[in-house]
Amino acid sequence: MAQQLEQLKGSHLVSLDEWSAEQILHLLRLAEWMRTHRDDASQLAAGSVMATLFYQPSTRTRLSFETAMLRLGGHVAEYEGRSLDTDDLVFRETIHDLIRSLSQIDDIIVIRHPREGSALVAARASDVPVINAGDGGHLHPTQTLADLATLLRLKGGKLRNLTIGLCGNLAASRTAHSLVTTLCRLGHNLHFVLVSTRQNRMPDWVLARLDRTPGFSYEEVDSLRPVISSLDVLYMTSFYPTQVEPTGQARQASNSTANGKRLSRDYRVTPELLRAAKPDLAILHPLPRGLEIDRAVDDDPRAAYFTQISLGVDVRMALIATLLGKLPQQFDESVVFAEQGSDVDE
Amino acid sequence: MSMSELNTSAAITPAAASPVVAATPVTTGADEVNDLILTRLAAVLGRGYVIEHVPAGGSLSLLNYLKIDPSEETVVIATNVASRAAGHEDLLGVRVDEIDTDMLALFAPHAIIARVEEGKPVRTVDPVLPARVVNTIRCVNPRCVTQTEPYLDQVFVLADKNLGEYRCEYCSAAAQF
Repeated sequence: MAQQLEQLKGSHLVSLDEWSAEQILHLLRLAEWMRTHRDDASQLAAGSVMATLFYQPSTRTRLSFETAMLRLGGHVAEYEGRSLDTDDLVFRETIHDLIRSLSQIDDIIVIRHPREGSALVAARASDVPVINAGDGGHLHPTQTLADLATLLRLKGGKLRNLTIGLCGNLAASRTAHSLVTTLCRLGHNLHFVLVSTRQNRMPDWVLARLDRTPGFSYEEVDSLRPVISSLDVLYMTSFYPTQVEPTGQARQASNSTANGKRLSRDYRVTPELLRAAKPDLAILHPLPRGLEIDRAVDDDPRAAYFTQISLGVDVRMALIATLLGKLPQQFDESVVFAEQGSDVDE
Repeated sequence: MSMSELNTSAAITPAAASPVVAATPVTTGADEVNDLILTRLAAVLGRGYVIEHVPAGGSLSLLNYLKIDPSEETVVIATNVASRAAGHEDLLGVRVDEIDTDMLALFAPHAIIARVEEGKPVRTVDPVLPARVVNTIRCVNPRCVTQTEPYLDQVFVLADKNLGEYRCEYCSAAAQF
């Protein structure tokens, strides 16, 4: 089974669609191993340098990648993408040339860029592995890996027979799109409850993907309240698309609109709402959040969004080690999930 | 010639299934009048291709996509003819040795093509949607990387064969023709 990961040495992660379901699951197993074998992992990437190229501001994703690389014993070269980018087309260097240049001096590149498809351009230009840390509103594959790692941990290693709610601006949420489409490949007998306003519904191409997946079903509703008791997982997203950074008044407006009270009631997680929820409900959010999750929920044991952050580092450690071809010799895939006491869906 | 005379013209046999060899007369299953027009087109062309079920009024655009220049090639067009299948359609004949059936499938997915030899349609050609289309369709997504990296080819991939849906290889936006 380690061969599945060895095959990924030197490759890129632009979209999870390019990886097989087995490869994704094996990577998640490796991430779990990283979590419980910190010392064994601490020198896997010794001597390697990871370039981070963030054209858009990022807190969690950038720091998560940097922490992952440091925990593997590697180094980080941070390039401030915004300082390299300019509206002057005469002097602005192309993504191709910049990435080609960086790949001559660094061992692995992580890129976040506002242009959709930019990660694919970078991957094709690079002589070293490229990881897509988010390309506009298009894809965010490592967030999906962190989400999957969280789900597997909280649901006993199983991605079957679950009712999964997604709530927020589902039209613009790349993390929601990516999570659903990846679950279509990894899960079994999943029912999705899609909670949003009429204007922010899940795109047709995602619904079409659900329609084509045997054993999967979905319903679209406009309020969390009537469905909360049926959910095993609740994936919250902001109503303001996170790939567009609001500032100042725009941020305030997005969180407290003129009809903010109605929006909050139907699309907001509060302690009062959770009284009707299952005791083993898992509440996820890719963060940053607005008003959609009340801060009083943070101490509820069902709140898993900070766990996602922690597991995100493990996932990125596994990803970096895999793409660099630095798999730990001590890694025993059968042990990892035996400890969890359940079979993972293949 | 009157309509009654047209209607009593010689019967046209069904299309041959095999692309092999010669002159088995074919029909493409269209209305009798249109069959007659196609037969006449074939006779005028002598050789080349006749195409039916082209979207009404779309012949000139289709010629553009096929990179057939009417000022250099013999082209015969009947526009906006009545069609039992589509209400109205164009019928097109071109005297060329080869035709890009992939592009034809892309822009006229319901079109039927018959190869013409010695003034007669002899066999149908089945166009297949191309898996990949390069520098023919332009991505309209304003956020696509192709908007700001002009050296990139415009590439669309066949995302749904049944629907004939194409998506930008970079940003996954649906193609708009």
